[in-house]
Amino acid sequence: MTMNLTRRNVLALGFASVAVGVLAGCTSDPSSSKDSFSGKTKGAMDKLGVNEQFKATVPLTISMLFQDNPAYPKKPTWVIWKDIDKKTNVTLKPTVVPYADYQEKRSLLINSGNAPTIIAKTYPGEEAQFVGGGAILAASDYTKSMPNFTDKVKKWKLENDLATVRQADGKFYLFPGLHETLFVDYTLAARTDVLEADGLDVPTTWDEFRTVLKALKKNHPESPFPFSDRFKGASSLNLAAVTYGTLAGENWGIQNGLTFDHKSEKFSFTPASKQFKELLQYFHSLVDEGLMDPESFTQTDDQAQAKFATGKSFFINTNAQTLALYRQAMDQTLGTGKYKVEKIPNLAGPLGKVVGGSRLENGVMISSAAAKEPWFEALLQFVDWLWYSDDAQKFLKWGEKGVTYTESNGKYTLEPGYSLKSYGFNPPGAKTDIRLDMGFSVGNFMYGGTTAIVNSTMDKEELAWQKVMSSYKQLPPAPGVPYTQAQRQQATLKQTALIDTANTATLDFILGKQDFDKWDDYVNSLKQKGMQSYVDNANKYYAQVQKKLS
Amino acid sequence: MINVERLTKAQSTRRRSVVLSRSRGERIFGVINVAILLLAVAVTLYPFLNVIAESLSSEKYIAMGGVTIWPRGWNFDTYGVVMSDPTFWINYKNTVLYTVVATAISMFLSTLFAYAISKHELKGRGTFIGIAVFTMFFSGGLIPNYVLVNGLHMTNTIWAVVIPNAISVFNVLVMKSFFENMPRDLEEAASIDGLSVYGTLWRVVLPLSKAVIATMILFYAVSNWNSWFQAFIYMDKSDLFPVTIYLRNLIAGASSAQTSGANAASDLTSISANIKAVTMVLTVLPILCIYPFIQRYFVSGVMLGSVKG
Repeated sequence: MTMNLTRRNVLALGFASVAVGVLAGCTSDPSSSKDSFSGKTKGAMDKLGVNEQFKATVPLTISMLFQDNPAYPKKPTWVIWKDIDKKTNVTLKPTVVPYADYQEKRSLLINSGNAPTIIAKTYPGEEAQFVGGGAILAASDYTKSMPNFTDKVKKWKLENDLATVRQADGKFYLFPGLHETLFVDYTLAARTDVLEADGLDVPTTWDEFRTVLKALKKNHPESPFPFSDRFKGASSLNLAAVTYGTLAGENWGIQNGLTFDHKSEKFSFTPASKQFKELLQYFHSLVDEGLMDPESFTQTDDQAQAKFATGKSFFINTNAQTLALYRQAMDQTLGTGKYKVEKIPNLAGPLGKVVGGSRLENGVMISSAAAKEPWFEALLQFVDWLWYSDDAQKFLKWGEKGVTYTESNGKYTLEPGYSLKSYGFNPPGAKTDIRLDMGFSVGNFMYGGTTAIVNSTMDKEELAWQKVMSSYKQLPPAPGVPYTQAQRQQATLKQTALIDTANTATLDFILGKQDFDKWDDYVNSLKQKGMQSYVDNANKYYAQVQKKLS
Repeated sequence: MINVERLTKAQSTRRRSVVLSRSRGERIFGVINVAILLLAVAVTLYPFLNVIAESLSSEKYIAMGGVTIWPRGWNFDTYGVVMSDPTFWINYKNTVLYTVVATAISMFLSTLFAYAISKHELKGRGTFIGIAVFTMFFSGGLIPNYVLVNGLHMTNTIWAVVIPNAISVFNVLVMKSFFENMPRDLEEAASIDGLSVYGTLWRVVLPLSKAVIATMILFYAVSNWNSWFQAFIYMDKSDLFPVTIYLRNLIAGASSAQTSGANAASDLTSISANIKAVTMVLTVLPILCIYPFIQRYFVSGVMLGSVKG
């Protein structure tokens, strides 16, 4: 019953947001106010410099959409709100939305015109659906008033990355989180104790990976499949796809299916490419030879984890957090000290040791209603300080210096009595968890920043892994396709059909339900679904905006 | 005459044979029927028993995937952990409050509405029924509803949860046909004895409608207990949420991370299967306890009003 309700409501929401988008599309451009702040300077500082403490000159109250994560639910004891208030003279008033349905409620509030001023936890790309409605602020119009943001974009050369979120008018509507260096987290976890016992080296390429799996299969006939994956196989496909020069992984890497050639400045539909075929052939060979569990693409994460934790499989996809969870589970199932699990460096492919992705993180949108408020300038300064200044990023992650933590030479140590268990900082006798009990290091605030800040919560092992990964060549991110509202709707219709076909074919080819002889038939079916016009339009719109910007 | 006699004889023989063959068929049908129903029971009961077993098992066996319908590595601690979370109880209390108030309001409004439209002499009866039935097929949509409720300043109050869905048209139609089947003579007698319309409803009709009333209370109460969407849409503070949102956040949080890919997954620390199971058991428990007591009304109540005449 609940499920029906959800689907119905999701549908209703979809139709309603389209309707509202279309209706609101008729209104005038909200970003015409630009940088003039006359009458909107209440509480603003005369001049805010880079890394200078922002403090509103009069007390302000600003509403914020807050995502409540069940792993660290918001508690009345959280001092973070009071601390922000003390530092900035701004009282944040959170609208609490449960994690599970955050996106749905965000759409509802924005489309009904009731959005809080600051809309946190918005991933790059998620803002696009609200652009046409005019309900969110064109962020790029106001970056001049945001010294910390501007400084980081310039210092870290993030223009290419920002291009991924530019819309048809050449503006971007999200204040994204910014990383100094590309943050890589996902890779394969290996049972290195088993590899050692068998005299096998840790694989460094996808081809070596196959050899190692073969050896494991031979040595351990009791384990049906040496590699049984989680995330429906999508994370591994995503990682491998980068090294094959393509995109793959349902909901992970495939995105809009468009790869960008930076030389010719042209998009192409990657699931029809030779590289994509080679990628599928590789994974098909793993399944065909009984090295990879065919259930990898259908089983739940819990099932995959159970196979790995009980020693039935030896490789599984992971990030730093899930690695810790495997260890917790394996302490129980295999016994502490009787196994060794490690993140291995990303496997190299035909393109060599490469990683892909953009350095943008989730960030905040600002409701365009805020542009009419008397404290608008102060709001921009506040957002700039809280989400982009180094001081604030340290504070949001670690709390108050001298109270909850100390820092020397870039090493962060918690003061006695405090812990941060989710990152493995768990000194004996610590009663207060700075995340669970105080609200620091929580998802709405703490992303991005300098490499030093991002790495500050990592343990030695993860730091060593990051160091290896930093030697990988970073592929430039593909720019976004700058659709207008109407173009986006048309493109989405085609994109959905094309990506669905590609995702289905991915599984069919890998699992052997479809023979590779039929590859041309598959490409033809993509053509019938409008692949060419989809690509042509993307190229056309991109070229138009480039012309406008130059 | 003879012909007629022969005819009836032949008819009765045919009828007997029909009865005999049907009963054989019925027996086969019965066996298959029971088998299918037992299968259905097993399929419905298994996940339930599995959750109860997981709630009482240690994380170790759950992680190994070894818990089926019997707990392994008995563990009662998690119940203590979940029950010591103040938010859980605040939300639980909200659920009880919302359910009681919403059910009371729904029953009051539905009974009056159903009783009124069960009277054929009511002027504009067709229009009233038409309006109600219209809402079964068409709704204003989510955003207009939100704007309306927000405009009435009902967001972040109990009224946002208990008013907008107070009348379920389906339930009203069931009640209406139940009232239509009630002998008119009773009401006429009551009115001759001097009872007003409301008096008749209160003293004569309702006491004779216990079955349908109990059924409707159950329908409303269960749907209110399970409902989370209204509160999710209209409430902005976690201490106003019902326990279903607390539960949904625990369970759907993990699965939504799977579907939205790398970005979301990196932020979610896993909630143990054990905690999820315990929360589920604690949430369904009260409704589970009420069910057996109302069930006998439930069966007769659903049947009543379904066949007219």
